[in-house]
Amino acid sequence: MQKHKHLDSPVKPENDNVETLLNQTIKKVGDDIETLDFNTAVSALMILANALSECKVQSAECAEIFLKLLAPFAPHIAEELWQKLGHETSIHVAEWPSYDSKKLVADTFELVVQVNGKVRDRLTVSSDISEKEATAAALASPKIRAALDGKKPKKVIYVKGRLVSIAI
Amino acid sequence: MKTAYDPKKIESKWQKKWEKEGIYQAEESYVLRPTSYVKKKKFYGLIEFPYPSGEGLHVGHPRSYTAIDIVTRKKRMEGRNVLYPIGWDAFGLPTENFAIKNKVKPAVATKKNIANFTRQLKSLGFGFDWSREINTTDPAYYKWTQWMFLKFFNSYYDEKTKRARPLSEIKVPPKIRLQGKKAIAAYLDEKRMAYKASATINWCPSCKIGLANEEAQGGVCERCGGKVEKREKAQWMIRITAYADRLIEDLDTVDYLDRIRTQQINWIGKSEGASVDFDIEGQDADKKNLEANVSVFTTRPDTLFGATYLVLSPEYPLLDRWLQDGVIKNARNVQEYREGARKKSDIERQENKEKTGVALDGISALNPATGEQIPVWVADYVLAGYGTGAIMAVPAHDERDWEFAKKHGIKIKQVVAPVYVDEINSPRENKRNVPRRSVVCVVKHWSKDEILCLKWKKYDWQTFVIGGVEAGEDMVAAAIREIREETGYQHPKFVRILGSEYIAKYFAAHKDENRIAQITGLYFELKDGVREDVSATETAQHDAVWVTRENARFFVRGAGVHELLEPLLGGVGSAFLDEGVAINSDFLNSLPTADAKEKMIAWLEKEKKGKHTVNFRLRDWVFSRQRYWGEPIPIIFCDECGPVAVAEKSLPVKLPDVRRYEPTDTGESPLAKISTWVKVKCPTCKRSAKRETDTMPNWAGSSWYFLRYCDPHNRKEFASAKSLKYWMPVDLYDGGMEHTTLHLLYSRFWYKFLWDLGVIPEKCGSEPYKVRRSHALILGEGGVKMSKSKGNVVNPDDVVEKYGADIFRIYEMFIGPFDADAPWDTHGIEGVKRFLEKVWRIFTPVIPAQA
Repeated sequence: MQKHKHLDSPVKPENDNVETLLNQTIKKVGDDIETLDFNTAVSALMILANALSECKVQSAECAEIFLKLLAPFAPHIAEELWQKLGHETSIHVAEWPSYDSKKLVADTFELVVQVNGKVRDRLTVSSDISEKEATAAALASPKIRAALDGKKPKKVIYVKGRLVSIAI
Repeated sequence: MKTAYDPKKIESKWQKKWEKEGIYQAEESYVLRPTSYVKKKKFYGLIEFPYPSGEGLHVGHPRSYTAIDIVTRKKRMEGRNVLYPIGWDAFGLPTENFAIKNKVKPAVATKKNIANFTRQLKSLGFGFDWSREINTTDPAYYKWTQWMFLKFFNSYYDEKTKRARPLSEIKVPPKIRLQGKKAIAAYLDEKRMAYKASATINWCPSCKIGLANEEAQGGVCERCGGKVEKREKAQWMIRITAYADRLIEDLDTVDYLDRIRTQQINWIGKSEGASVDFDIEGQDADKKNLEANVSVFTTRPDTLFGATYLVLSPEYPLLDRWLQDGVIKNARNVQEYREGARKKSDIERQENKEKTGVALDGISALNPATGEQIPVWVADYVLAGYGTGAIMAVPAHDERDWEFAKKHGIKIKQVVAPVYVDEINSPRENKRNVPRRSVVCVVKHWSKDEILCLKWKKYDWQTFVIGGVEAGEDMVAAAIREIREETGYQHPKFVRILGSEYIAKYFAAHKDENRIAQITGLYFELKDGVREDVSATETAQHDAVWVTRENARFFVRGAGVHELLEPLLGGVGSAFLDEGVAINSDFLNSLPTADAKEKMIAWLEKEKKGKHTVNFRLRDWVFSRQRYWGEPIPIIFCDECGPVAVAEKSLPVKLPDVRRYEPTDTGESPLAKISTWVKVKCPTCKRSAKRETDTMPNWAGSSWYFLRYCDPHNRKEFASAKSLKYWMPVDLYDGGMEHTTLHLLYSRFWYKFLWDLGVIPEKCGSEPYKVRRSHALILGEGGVKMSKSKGNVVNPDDVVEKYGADIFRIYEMFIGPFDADAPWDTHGIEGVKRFLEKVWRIFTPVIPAQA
């Protein structure tokens, strides 16, 4: 079920969330190695592996970064997979990944919109959206307008980063 | 079709390829480039090189090795020139005992063990630079260990510049030079950094070896756990104590875990104080002037006025002389006591609840401050190894001295008073501070168990009967006066002084002044109830009330009053250990402790009765071993010339091949039996002479191995200046906590010594390791320590066979925080297996059907 695109055309991570997690993991594993917190570094690699296993398509960038982070811990399997990806020099002299500090927090998140307690829509919005903008986006959504059915909202509650709840 | 994850198919293949391509080898070219070139920045990661035992690798080793492997691999990927070296710490007892038991040569056993260890390490894929492999038992290596010993032998410590220097630079004082060659030689021998002296060693009767204090902590041999005995033996010693201060101070320049720092500081045990001289007098008129004094070290010179007896350790050298000269009248008791003490370990002596001892009959000491004669005791709670082996006992201010004095009926004299500041009636700013001598009278009813107290009217005070003492007035008389005036009761009988004196600081509202009252508690009992009227001024201020003894503690208030309540309620009292204010101490009176210390030291120095002194717990390093499997100490003993260094060009002094390795019961090394090896010509005068048969402790090779890795094939030097300047100091060093006061302390000292001499370039800095960390243990399943006897030892070979190296490595990193002990868990390792299988699945490209 998993297909890999041919890897001479590098492809960016599948979505924002994966890209964020990738950058976070590069930072976490790098920092943890410096402070000898190896157990939490391994945890982070496991979490990233789980996320990548859900990707429909593996990007070359994800593969290479993951393997490079894994290489100090599990040098043999990392080298083997690196070579299978088409490299001819050792992974152990490849360049250690660096993270983009702007990408440590996701650009977007999923805003849940409820009407009278029932989830009626999910919107992808920017991470730095304001309450006003979030409420406006929620009210403008076609699904929400249908659920409101012309009635005016009695109360609107906004939970930052998560949801807009409308009571009618 | 995908292939499954099979470690066996990939691991060995890559290990061979990496080794062939040398990808983990440190790049030597950068070392040799001139400084004008851009050098690749280095990273030197280090693990404690293993002792190649017959048992092979323990699962605990890879926890350390994998950790530093991970760090160094990351550094390599970040573009650093990485040095991650490996070698063998192969001298020592286990191999020698194995050789004796199994009748094989130690060198042969070592070779076999190293081959096994090497196989195991390589199977785990560590990025060691095998091209720099070293072995402490290789004569090409221990040539330099011996060379360094000779540097110690031919150097002295210059106190002025605080550096070790070659002995050739020393200025022999003219009056010594006048005395001739032998006197000069003796003078130089006294100064050497490596010297032979009679030392008390900890003898382990089962290992048949003498141990340094560090190796016999707790009175047990750190190798076999058996009890050690104290013995006197002529031993080679290395003057590590000269570096005590620097070993503490330079901890500020490095990044060690707190608990490692603390252990080193405590082991060195620096304390500041004074040495004080007590003149000794014989009690018989004809033996009065013994021309002897006893010097003691004390951290509390301010308490000298309270020193009511002297204690000598049973080993105190002057005892021998006095016993011989017949000065001591109870000689037999004293001798019996000394014999008994020899059998006990230091720990037993210190923990001894009994506080045994014998007073020396026929001798007394002169307290230089009071001018009084005080008794001299011999007691084993004073250790020969601490300070001078003698102490001044101040029972009022030292717990052990207190217990001893109470037991043996020796006078207790308080010379420091605690200071209490009243929290309710606190001293106020801008008010007069009036010092006062006061008495607090605790007065008991003539028939009931009740105490007479005062309840004050204008102020919310509840007190015992209190009053001031006029200058020159007798305390008891003043107290009786106060009792009569304030309460009217006429017949108080003085019983005793209650508790210790103390200082109370408070605001006396009725006089609008701050008081600094030195208070003595006096206990009275009323003979009867005869009472006269109290004056109006008194009744205006307070009423006298009877309070039961039990309730007194709730009724009476005031700073420090607990000092009186405690003995009142049956407390037996205790030594006051903290700082306070000097009392009963003549020219020190009313000085706070810190000032009293200074003033006393100044007085002692002026009177030439003592001086400011710094004391250390650390003792010089006992460097001799009487075993076979160690570096021979390269010294030759000539009857004419004394101990002579083997010429540098004759190094190494090789360990001869021997048929038998057992140490002798007299405790000499087995080498002593090989007369052909022992007989040699003196390098100086060519006469017949003998080799030193003692060998070095296993710590010798490990004290400098991290330097050799920098330049392991150099035949001319232990390491070139260029290689040391490039690679040193070590950037990250991981090791066991058990080495904190042993290897870590020894190697820091050894390094500083070589750095002082300039054979380690100054640029390298005075500390060998920038960062020191420590890994924790891997325990058996269920959390119990792994041991052969418990049958719960996990063999790394089995784990690698079943799971492969990668799963093993990740499991040991995932098992828990690096510095916490963690139990082995088979379920845990299965989880890691699933993780790597998933990784394999995610990233293995699909193989096209037609291929």
